[in-house]
Amino acid sequence: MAEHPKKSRTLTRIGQAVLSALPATLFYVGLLVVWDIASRAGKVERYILPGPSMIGRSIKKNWDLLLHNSWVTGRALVLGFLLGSLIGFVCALGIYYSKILRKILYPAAVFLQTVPKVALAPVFIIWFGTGQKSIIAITALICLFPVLVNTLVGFEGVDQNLLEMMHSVSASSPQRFYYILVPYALPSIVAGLEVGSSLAAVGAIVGEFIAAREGLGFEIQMASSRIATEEVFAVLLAVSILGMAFYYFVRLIGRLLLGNRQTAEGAQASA
Amino acid sequence: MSATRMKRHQLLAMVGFTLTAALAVVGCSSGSKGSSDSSASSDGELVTVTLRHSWVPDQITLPFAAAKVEGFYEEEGIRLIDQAGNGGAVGVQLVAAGEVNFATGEASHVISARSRGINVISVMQEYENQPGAVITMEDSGLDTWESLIGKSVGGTAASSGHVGFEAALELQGISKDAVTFVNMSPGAQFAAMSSGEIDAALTFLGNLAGIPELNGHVNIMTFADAGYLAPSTCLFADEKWVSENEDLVKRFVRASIKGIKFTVENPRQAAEDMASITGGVTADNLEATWLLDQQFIATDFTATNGLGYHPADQWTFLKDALLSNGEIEEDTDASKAWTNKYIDQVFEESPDVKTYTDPTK
Repeated sequence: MAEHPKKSRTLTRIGQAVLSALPATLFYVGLLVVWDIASRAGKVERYILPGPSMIGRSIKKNWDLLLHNSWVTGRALVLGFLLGSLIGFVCALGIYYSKILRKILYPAAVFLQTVPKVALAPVFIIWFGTGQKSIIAITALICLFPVLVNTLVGFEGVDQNLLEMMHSVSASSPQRFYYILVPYALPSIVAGLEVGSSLAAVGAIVGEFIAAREGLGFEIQMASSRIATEEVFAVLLAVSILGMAFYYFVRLIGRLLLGNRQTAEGAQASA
Repeated sequence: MSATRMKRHQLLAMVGFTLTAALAVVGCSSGSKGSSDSSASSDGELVTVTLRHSWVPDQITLPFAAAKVEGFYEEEGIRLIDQAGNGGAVGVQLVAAGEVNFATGEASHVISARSRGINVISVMQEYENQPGAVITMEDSGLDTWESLIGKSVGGTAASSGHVGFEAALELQGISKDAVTFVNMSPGAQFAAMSSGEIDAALTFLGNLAGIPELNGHVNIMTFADAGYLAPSTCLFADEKWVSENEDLVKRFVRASIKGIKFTVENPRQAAEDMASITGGVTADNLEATWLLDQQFIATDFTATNGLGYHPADQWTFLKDALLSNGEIEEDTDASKAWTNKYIDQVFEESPDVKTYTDPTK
């Protein structure tokens, strides 16, 4: 008898979840249907914006190629993000602890962030070669800045009283770093990693525009030149899925790291 | 307000929002074909015509800029509004959508477009032959096509240079798989070759003039020398628009051919003309790049048939090359991708436009 109210509550929750997802689902399905009808009726130029069914056919036709290139780009994306995040974290640490490093590293990081990466193509090729190293380096460069800035903001936001208290009980520098600095800056660091992960796909694609033999960026160039717009959109969809999957993966890791604590974003929202 | 009424309002708002978004997508993507923007518009006595160049201002733009400064378009009652481009493929999309009247780009883009049902047509040839070449460092010992076997070559994937290179290899009896092709942005291949990252680079010959460190210090193997005689940059427009604006097309072609003739005969003056209206270029560089490319514009074929004339056999040859390397999937009638109709009319009405003197020969 006690099962009934529980089952009923579960069903209600499922029903509410379905209802809450309904408007967004209806919106996107409606959009796709109208778009496809317009495309088939010739109201949308298919060489500018092909219909969803046309893009779907292209995905089916190029499935193996898309899968292979997604793997190639995905690998560069992950490695570039890890490298960029590591460098960003280490630089933030250096800037936090050293006034000299702050004067050296911070302007350089801002400079690198504002320079269009494509313009650096020859430099990257000479330094890292024409293989994946260049692509990973460009991805790392794009991911580095948000991680650096957010980590630094996190470090600088740590309550000085806590650090002084640790100092007064003769805690060593690594102890202060491990028990105070990192835990208290973690929401900000995670926020930086999330921003960095959302940019990683852009970095990998830009890298593949500069020098590549395969990958989704390479495929976009090939398809664009052939005016195969439906193929370009199929690849763009793959890029988006890859980028979103990676972003949500990093976000999930961030949530696990934070446990019950809020991210900086959440903390700001609640404030 | 009751909950049911609220939900009804929400539903209506949802439907309205979806329809608005869908219409926005359709509206933004359908181009403006047939609207006043796409048609050449008349302002006073001059008719405004829009032209999108294949790339940023360079030697390919030179005859059009010279024609503008020398007043050839105005003589034809045309006010030319031109804009820099970023590749012929985009030009194809823009003329087909009616966003611009004419565009310049590779003949391969016109054929690719037609094979995909986008009916654009070339009305004038600028580069009769592809000025593409593969270059290697002077001391590399790579100075024959055979010597490229097993080597790496950098260029932009699926570009006309890439197509020409693979076709030239085939003409030399070398499989394209015997060479490692490395895709890279146009500005990167020279640096990569100089640093030894790649063994050879693809380029348009004229571009060498802009790199004094390389010009004169590299081995050059042109695609034309390898037997690849394919048409290159041409002036194209939407086929339907052309058929509806025949007199205007003829006048535009006449002014443009006059521009090519003027540039062939007076490269220095043409370069100064262009430099006077274009930022970021110098007359010296424009003249030097043009002179390297001129052999591909004023050819034996044009000496007989006139500047701008389409070489029929070479268009078919190019289509076969595109088909053979998979750039186009379906066979298409190459002869429908171009027309000499307007050039014939121009030469009939103005015989002096057909003949020219080439000071480099």
